[in-house]
Formats: sequence, C-alpha cells, structure tokens
Amino acid sequence: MAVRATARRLGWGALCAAVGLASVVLADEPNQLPAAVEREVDFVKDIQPILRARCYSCHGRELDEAELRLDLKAAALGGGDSGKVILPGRSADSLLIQLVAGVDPDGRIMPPEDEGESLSGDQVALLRAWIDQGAKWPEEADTVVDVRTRGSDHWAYQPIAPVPPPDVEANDWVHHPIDRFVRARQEEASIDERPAATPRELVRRVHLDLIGLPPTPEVADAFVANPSPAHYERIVDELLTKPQYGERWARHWLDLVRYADTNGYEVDGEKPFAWRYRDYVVDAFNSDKPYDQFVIEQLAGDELEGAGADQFVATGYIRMGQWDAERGASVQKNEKIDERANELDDMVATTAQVFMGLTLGCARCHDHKFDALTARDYYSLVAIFNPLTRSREGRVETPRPLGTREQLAAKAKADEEIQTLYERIDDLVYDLLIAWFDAGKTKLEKRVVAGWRERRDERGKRHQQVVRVSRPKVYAEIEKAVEDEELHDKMSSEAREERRRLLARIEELRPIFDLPPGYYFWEPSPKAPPTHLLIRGSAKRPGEEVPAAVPAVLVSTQPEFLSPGTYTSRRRLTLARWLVHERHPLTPRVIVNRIWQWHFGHGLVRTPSEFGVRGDLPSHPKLLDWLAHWFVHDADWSIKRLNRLITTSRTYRTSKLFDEIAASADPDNRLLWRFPYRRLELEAIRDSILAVSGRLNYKMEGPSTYPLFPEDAKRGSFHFGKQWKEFNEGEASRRTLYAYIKRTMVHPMFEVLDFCDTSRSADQRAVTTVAPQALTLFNGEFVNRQARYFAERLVREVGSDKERQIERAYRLALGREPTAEESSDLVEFLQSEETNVKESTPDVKADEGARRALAQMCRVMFNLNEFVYTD
Amino acid sequence: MDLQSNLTPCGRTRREFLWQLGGGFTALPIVDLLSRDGFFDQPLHAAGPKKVEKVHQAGQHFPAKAKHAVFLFMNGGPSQVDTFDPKPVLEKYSGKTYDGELTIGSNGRPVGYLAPSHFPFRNYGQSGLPISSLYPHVSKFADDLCVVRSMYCDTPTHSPGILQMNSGSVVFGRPSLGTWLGYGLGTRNENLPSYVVMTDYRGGPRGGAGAWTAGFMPAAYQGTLFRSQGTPVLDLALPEGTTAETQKSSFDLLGRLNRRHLKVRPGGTELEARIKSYELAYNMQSEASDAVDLDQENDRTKERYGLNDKRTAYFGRQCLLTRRLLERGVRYVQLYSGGGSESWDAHDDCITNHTKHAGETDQPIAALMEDLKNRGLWDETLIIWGGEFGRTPTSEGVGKPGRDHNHYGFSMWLAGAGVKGGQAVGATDEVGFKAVEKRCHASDLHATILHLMGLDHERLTFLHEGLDQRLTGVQHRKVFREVLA
Repeated sequence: MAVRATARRLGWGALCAAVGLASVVLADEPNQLPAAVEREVDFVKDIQPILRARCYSCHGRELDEAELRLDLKAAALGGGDSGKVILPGRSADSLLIQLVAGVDPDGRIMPPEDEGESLSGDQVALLRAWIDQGAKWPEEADTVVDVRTRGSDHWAYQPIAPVPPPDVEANDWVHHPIDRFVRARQEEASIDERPAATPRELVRRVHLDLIGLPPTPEVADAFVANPSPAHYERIVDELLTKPQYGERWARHWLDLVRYADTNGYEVDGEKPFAWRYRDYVVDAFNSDKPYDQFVIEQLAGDELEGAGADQFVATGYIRMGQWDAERGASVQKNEKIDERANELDDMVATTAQVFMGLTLGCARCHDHKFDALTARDYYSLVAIFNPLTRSREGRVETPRPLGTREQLAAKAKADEEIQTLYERIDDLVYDLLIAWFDAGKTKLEKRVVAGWRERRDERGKRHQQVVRVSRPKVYAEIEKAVEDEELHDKMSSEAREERRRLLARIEELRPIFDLPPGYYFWEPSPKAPPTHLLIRGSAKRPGEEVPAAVPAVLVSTQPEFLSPGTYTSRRRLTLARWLVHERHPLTPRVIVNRIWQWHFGHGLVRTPSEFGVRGDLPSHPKLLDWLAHWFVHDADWSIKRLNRLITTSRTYRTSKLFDEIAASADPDNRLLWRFPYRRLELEAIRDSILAVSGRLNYKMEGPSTYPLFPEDAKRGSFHFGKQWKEFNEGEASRRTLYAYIKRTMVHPMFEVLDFCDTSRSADQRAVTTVAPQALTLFNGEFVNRQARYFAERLVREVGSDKERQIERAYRLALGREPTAEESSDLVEFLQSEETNVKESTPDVKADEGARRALAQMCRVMFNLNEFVYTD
Repeated sequence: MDLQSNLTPCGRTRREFLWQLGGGFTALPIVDLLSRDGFFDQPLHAAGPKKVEKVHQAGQHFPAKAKHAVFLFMNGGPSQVDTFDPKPVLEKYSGKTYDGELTIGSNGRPVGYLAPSHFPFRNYGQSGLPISSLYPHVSKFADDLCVVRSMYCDTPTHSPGILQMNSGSVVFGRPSLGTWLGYGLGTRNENLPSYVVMTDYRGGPRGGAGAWTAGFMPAAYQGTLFRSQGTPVLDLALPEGTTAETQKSSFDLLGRLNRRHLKVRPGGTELEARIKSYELAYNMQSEASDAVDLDQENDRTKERYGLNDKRTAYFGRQCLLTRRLLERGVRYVQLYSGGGSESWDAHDDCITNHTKHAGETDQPIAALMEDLKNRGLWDETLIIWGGEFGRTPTSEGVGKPGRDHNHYGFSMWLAGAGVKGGQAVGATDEVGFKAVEKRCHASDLHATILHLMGLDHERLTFLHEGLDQRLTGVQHRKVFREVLA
C-alpha cells in the first residue's frame, strides 16, 4: 500500500527516475507503460468499447466491485474504494492505467488474471490518450451503451411479415406457394428448371422421409404404374396416418431435447421412465398435437388446469439433461451448487435453443458479445426454472406417481392412511411374527427377519427401509402364520378380526394407491425461491437477485407473469404461453425451419438453433416468413399439414441429379436446384435393414430395448455394462428409436453411424464417412445376422432360382429391378461363392452352400450406396 | 479422391464452411483458420512402420515439436508426496492435524493427520531430480522428465476430474484432447485410427467414454478403443463363417456395384467418399491386425516391457503396442492405469495401492521411453504422465496410511519432444497440499500440450452453440513456458 501511494504521488516518470537504472532494463520488459497514441480519441468510438468489453462485467450495472463503476460518467470519474482512478490530463498517474498496464507497484493487474487477458498495448495507448486529452465523456454516452439495443434490428427479432408468393415463369412451379418462392430465386439466378424425380425415386424418397422405412415393392410398383398427382397425394396422406410416422419424426425431436435413458457422468444412473416421455413425443407427432400445445405441455404441462398423467410426462422435456449425481449428492456444498448451476444451465440453454433458436450459453458468464442478450436475461430465465426440484434419494432418482392433481392428492392421502394401517397391522401381528421366527418357521432372509424383529418404535433407519421394501413378502408369510395351529394363542381373535378389516381397507385404497409411476421435476411450493445473477457464471459468487423475465430484446414490455397457482409458481406456464404467442417472432420461424430441415437435410436457415446475429441468414427469407405465418394462422400449428404442404411441392419432388451449370451458379445448392444428397440416419438405415430382412418388430412404445452390445465394446465402461440388459432378439428388432441410450456407453453401431451427441441439444445429425462405418456394416454382428434372414426370406418367397432371388432382393432393398448387368454380376458372384463354400467346407449340403452364398450377397446389398443414399 | 477441389473453403466464410460439414467429409481434419488460407492436412498413407514421411502439418499454427503424444493416465489420482514432490517436512509434522485453510473430506471422510511418505526419495541423473522409490525404472530417465509440481484443477471428484483432465471441462460431452488434436492435425495413417485409447483390464475410468468422446464434434474424431490382444478394433475381424477369399470378393462386388451407381450420378462426391471408406476399411483389416501382432517382437523386447511378469504384463503389452502404433503414425494414444473398482484411489492404504499400481506401470513406461529413444521417435513424441488429481498430504485417520483426493495441488510430468527435462517446475506449499508457485491449471497443461503439437489453443476453435469453442475454455489460460526446451 505504501509503495503504491508513493508511486501515485511521484507519478510514473518520477518512479522510473527513482528506480534509476532499472527503468532502462524495464524498457524491454512487457511491463512498460505504452505511450499514448497521438491522434485525437473519441470516447464513444475508441474508449467505451474497451470498457464495455473488459471492465463492465465487474464494474458495471451488474456489479460494482471496489465500489467502482466504469459504465457511467459520474461514477467512473468519481472513483471507488481506492479514490479517483481517472485523473484527467495525467494518464500515467491514473490508477486505471497503472492497473490495466500491469505497472502497479503492488503487482495488481486489471482485469484480474482469471478474468481474461490483459489489455493490449494499443488499448492502453488509447486509454492514456483519452485521459491525457482530458477524459472527455459526453453526457449522452451513458445512454447509448445499453447492450439491449444492440442487434434489436436483427431480422429474426422483427415481426413476421408475410408477403404473397411471387409470380414465376416456369409452368410447373406456379401452383404451389413454396414453389413460387423457390423458383423465383432460381429465376433471379438464371438457373434452369431442373427435372423432377422419377416416380420410383419419389415414392422411395417420401417413404424414407415420412416413415423412415422403404416402400414395399407393391406400393412402389402401383405408383410407378399410375404416377398421378392424386395418387401421390394419397400416398403422402397414408404415410402421415401410419404410426411409423410418429416413430420417425419423434426421433428428430428427441435429438433436440437431448433425450437419453441415463443421466451420464460417473454414476450414469437410469432416468426412471424416460421412455414415457419418448412415447409422449411419438404420440404427439402421430396425433398431430398442435405445436403450440406441444410447447406448452413440455415446458409447463404440470401447471395447466386439469393436468393429467400425459402433461406430467410431457414435462419430461425439462429433466432430460445430464445429471452428475456424484456432485449433486455430494456432501461438499461447492460441488453441489456448481452442479445445480449446471443443471439450470441445461434447462435454460436447451429451452432457448430448441424453441427460440437462441444460444444463450455465453450470457451465463457475461453479456453476449454479439447478441442483444445479457447476463440478466440469462438469469431471468434461470429464475423461471429455479423452482423445480429433482426427486432423489442420494444418487438415485425416485419415481413419482402420474395422474391428475386430484388423483395425486388422493394418493398422497391414501399413502398416509395406508402407512397408518400398515403400522397398526404390524403391531397387531408382532407377537405372532416373533413366535413364528422363534419357531424357525420363516423362509425370509436374515436381514429381513432382523428388521422385523425390532419393535416399530425402536427401528433404526436402515431397518425401516428393509421393512418397507420387504413388506409384501412378509405379509404373505403372515398369512401362513395366522393359520398355524401351534401359534394360535399368539394372536387374539379380536386382533385377527381387526387385521382382516384393515387389510380389506388397504385393498379398497389400492386403486388410488397404485397410480402408474413416472418421473418429473416438480415445484415443492408455489412460492419461487430467489434467483441470483452469478458473477462470471460462478455459483460461488452470487450477485443481485433477478426476477423471472423473458429476454428483453424480444419484447417492448415484459409479459405479465401469472401469479403463483395452487401448486406451482406458474413461471414456466407464462414463458410457454409467451413463446407460442401468435406474434412471437422466433417460435414459428424456428419450428418451420426445423421441419424444412428434417425434410431437406438443411434448413432455410442453416443454423437451426441459432437465429441470433451470429446465425446464418435465411436463403429464402420471404418463404420462411410466409411459412411461419401460414403455419400459425392457416394450419393452426399443425405439423402434419406442414409436412403435407412441403412434400406435395414441386421443390420437394425435384430430382437429385447434379448439374454442372446450376452448380457453378449455386455450388451450395442453397437455391434448391436439386434435392440434397444426404445419407440416411442411423435409425433409417437400421430400420430399413430390419424391414428388408423381414425381421422388423412393429411393436410400439414401452420400456427401451437392448440391442446386442458387443462384449469388446463394454471394456471402456466403468460399470462394465452392468445396466445393459440381456439380448432379446424380438425386442431388439423393434425400431431403433426404442433402443436404450446409455450416455456413457452408447452402442458402438449408433456411435459410428453418427448418432447425435446427447449431452446437449443436437440440432443436426453429422454425416461422416469413415472406415469404421464400413467395418460395422460389413463385419458387424447385426448386418451379418440380418443378411442371413434376408437370404432366408428370399428363398421363402421365390425359391432357389438365382435370378429370381436377385430380382426380389433388388425390389425389396432398393425398390427397383436389377439391370441385366447387375443381375449377371450377381449370378456369377453367387455361383463362385457356392463353389467356395463347397471347397472350404465339403461336408456342407448343397442348399446350405447356396444359402450362405446368398447371405453374402445380401450383406453386399445392405452396404450399397444406393441403399443408404436415396435418389 | 481429390480433397482440395471438393472442400477448399476459399470464397466462403469459415462459418459457412463449417456449417456445410454435413456433406460427408467431416472425417477429415479441419482447422479453424482465422488468419490462414490453405490448411488441409493431406492424410498421409503409410504403408507400414518406418514409412511415415515427414510432412508439413498444414493444420498447425506454428512448427510443431511433437507429432505424437502419449498420455499415461494414472486413473484415480496418484499421491504427489509419494512420487514426485518430496516433502521431508512431513516427517516433522507426522500425526499433527492439518490446520490450514484447505478442506477436502470427500464423502464425509475425515481430513485426518499429516502423514509423511512411506517411499524414500533419491536424487537421480545429472539433474538430481528427486523421485520416490515407487519408480525405479522411470528414474533412469530423470534427466528427461519435466515434473510440474504445481498442477491444480477444479474438482476433487473423480468423474468430473477425469473429464476435466481430458476435455478441460467438468461437464460431460465436451471434446477431449485427442479429439482436438485429430481435428487440428488430422491423421497420419488413414488405415489406423488417429486417436487410440486403451483402458485397464479391470475396467474403464469413471464416466467411461466421456473421457474420449468427440462431444459436439463429428464422431470421427473420438477415441477408438483398442485391445492389446486378439482383434484390436471392434468389427475388424471377419464375420463368423466368412473366409478371407469371400471377404475379398464381397468387397470387390460392392465396389463394382457402387462405382457403376456413381457413374450415372456425376458430382456424387458423398458417394465417392463412401466408396473410398470401404477401401480403407479393407486395408485397415490387415494394417491394424499387423500393428497388434506382438509376436513380431523378439523375446528380449517383450521382457523389457515386462510381458513375462504377471504384474507388468498387461500394461507392458499396452506400452509395447503404443510404440508400434506411434511407429505407424497414430497421433495420440492414451493408456489407463487403473479402472473399474481398482485404481490409484488410495483412500485406505496408499502403501499397498501405490506399490501395486506403480509396480504395474514403472517398467513398461521405462521400456517405452527407451524404445522411443532408440528408434528415433523420442524427438517427435510427447509423453504425459499423471492422473485427474493428486492426493492429500494427510492420512484419513490415525494409523491408516490412506490419502484423500486433492485437486488443490498435484504433480504430473512431461517428457520427450520439446520438453526441457531434468527439472521440476512450480511448487506446492510447505506440506504439499496446494500449488502455490507457478500454478498450472489442467487447461494450462492442455495449452502447453497443444503448443508442443504446433497448435495455438486460442486459435484452435470449433463453432458450437454460437460460440467458438476451445479446448481451454473461456478463461485465460497460458502455455507453461518453463516446460519448453
């Protein structure tokens, strides 16, 4: 302190002089004070951006460390704990300069080391010049710094303003609004009209797109024979009513909401009944639940009037994130609060991305650098989710009953009554039970007996649990004990009578008691706990309290938050209703863009979860707005109507054929001159293989299934795959959607075929092309097994004639007939393979040799590019 | 396959380019340029060991010291005061309560009493670097080791600690170091995975694949689990009942049909890439099998790696295999010592535990170092030794020689390419609890490793969730210059 005072009194020059020679050496050190720039500096242009980027987070609106604020003129020039930090005209003497330049004799530096890099020499030079030139700070500058105004003119934050579809020249494209928007852009770019897909291509495309499975040869042939628009529309309508539609489209949504069956991290415990939420999503798509309702139910189903089991399940959306149970259940407070902050971040970040297409992540620590999103916006969203709590015992999540609020209340009451009844019964039978134990008549485990031997009021915590869990089997034994002649005098007839009465009462209560179990986060009280802004995102540094609110840039006035209801704070309900307000600028744009993306592989905005200023600009802004408006006002938020609108457009029916000229004008195909090539997703590949082999199990919904997990691949797991249940082929042959997703042990076939990252919201599947995929699809157990089934199916359906087998294989797998060339290639392959089998294993029967050869051919079929890349 | 014409990002913004990665080539290395232009690292095809050519790694930001890295991960957290950070003063304080500011007491365990090391230290080499009796073989390389005694990280819990030491973050799902290296530098041998992980025979680390995940990056960058025996990589072996001849003719048939399909679909770059991936897969079958064929090694070598001793055989095989993989151009190998329920996590008994785990790893590590030196790989290979954190200088109770987790301060060492050996840098406090001098966060270590591999940790970025994500996160992190030769 003394040294610093000296330095300040003496000033920089004097200090250097005092240190004498050392200053000469210092000249080469990075610590020297850069000279002021010589030009005239402008506060708003040159200085304020530095302060905003580097100082405000600790010395600004959110926080005034050392009582110093640098965002307001009076406060900044007035100084803080250390007195004035800016001395106009004397930059070298100003503490601000000494600290940011790292020449403070006490060795202090600003920003502090853990808050980021030091200021650059150029920045210090600017600050010095500004102070030397008198530290001019225009009064009006105070009002123009607000981050909230930044980016508010960004396109995606503006109201949706539909314009009518433009006129186009090409005949084929005048009928459908989508086509007019798309073709107009192509005509502007002088791109010739490209051909439509052939009927055979189209029927396969629309099947894989809408239901994730190839068409049967019969459906394909019928359409090829009569490819009229009416026939096509009928196919689209039929596909949209198939239950497989929901199974296909639910998966798109599950990617977004980071769906998995376990919590990840070290414990990676099961998320109880995660699959109920998955089934809810399948149902939502199949029943075409209006999107606005879909949003409300997922965010706040439990807060709706008349909420029932489905609405509670829907809020499973909120709990799908990861949970580090080890830290969440830690006895160390720091670990626990850190983990809680991460959980809330997951809810807020996912919600902002999924529904609004906003990435808020960086606002957790500081105001968004590029967008008009502040740390306050972020923590105001945190305040919306903060009332929620997780049911758990230690590191295990404990189920909660599903039902209406009335049913839940009745159950809570029944639970209580049943508990009292149990206790009374336990007391009534106590003497009898002890005698039964003493007589050595029990078949119960020692542990259980020990628990029940203790008197109820003396039972320790562990024994209480043992008793609770073992009650059904102990009661079953008591049924025998009460009939035991030898022990007859151990229980009075009144007690026997009372026991019977109480048991009957329990049976009466049981229907209420036995509500189906589920899992959801819940609000223990309608009164929300306080939420604090966390300085630099650190849970250990709470700042001021913030109210629940929506991002300020999106509203002129905040929506009025509902008052707390009977059970909950109703903050989430307020958020959800605001999100689906018909004039919300983001929600409709974001969802129609996603639907578009799920049809075409790319959205009109190619950053589907980033509509902020850092996001991609829409390739067809007018089309996007037209669709968003149509979706809300004409289609009443119906996703199926949007599916139908898109799939019946000429744009959707365009061929995938490449064109040199179009490609040179638009290499990225943003103008959609061809339908984009894109490998099928893992699910569509695996399901198609099962469908073609004839082994697909169409059973829907319910607990997840367990595909065969290669033993080798379990090695990396800490648990050695303990949670992976035994392989049941029939169950495992259900659609891939139903496979168990264990976060720390994703099935290797899923992993290698670009299954999404489940740790955060995933808005687009990657398509990588690497050798391990080839190994999995060529050598892996699954494909080889299915290839054998496919071969058996061919023999079953067309007998042993090779050409007929090949023809059938092509029609089933690829939806077309083989060319003559292909047919002869394959016949030759089959013959030579048959010979190989004969030579290598002479004792094999001839038809077995033929079947093995056929299975080899089937394996090749599943690996064809044509199988995984549709035309 | 002409990568340049397919993928050159010139004329597009970096972001546009990254968004278009869905096109089918994301398996190939992509480096964020910012200030660079041509940056593709052409995959280098190596026909076999010793044929790995010296090529310019175009992804690098500056010339690299190391081409490969090996992370010897001592899972569970080795005790620094028993290995590389001697604290003789603990003798004096033995049995006294620790009354400093730090608390650990994980899972309600007692903080206990200060406890001296049970393993005597000696000074080794010309540098006189002190190493405990746990590592007699490694001690021979004392002049090559740079011990960082001032390591620290953010959590005293295993799983997030392992995640942080691998990915910089305690949060699950962030890309790991090997992923960033693959993304930044690409592969040097297309026929082998560029990022190989070998877990302990007793099981994986806590959190499993989270430690080698690609996170939000394409799955092609994630670590590949390798076995040191039998079939090294999943699905590499021929399916049951398929002969090599059939395999060959099936691959040929597939290629023929696919090429015919491609012919009438000009511009089908995705299709072409997939054809190529099958050719690579076919080659990988022989290359990877060859890499793990330790029978090609002579008995003397096997003995040096401890293959003839039950105690060292498993880790020894992995170290020997590591050398063979490095020779074949594998970029990054991570070996785990300890896994499942048996790791360096010596709560009860540091003496037995550390004797066992150090004993399993000491000789194999030394053999690997010796081979790297003898085979000209030393100057291009970086070796990192350490765990997710260290252990307390206190025991957990009277008379119990166990130590608790300690993330406030611990030791790791680096050796090999670009590392200034024969020194210990940074320091913990008097008793070895907290790093106090030249503190080195796990992310500072990452910055240093990237630097040695020719990458600038601030420029190696990947756009995700609207942020240019980095291995070293948003906090200010720095290269630990004292480590550098």
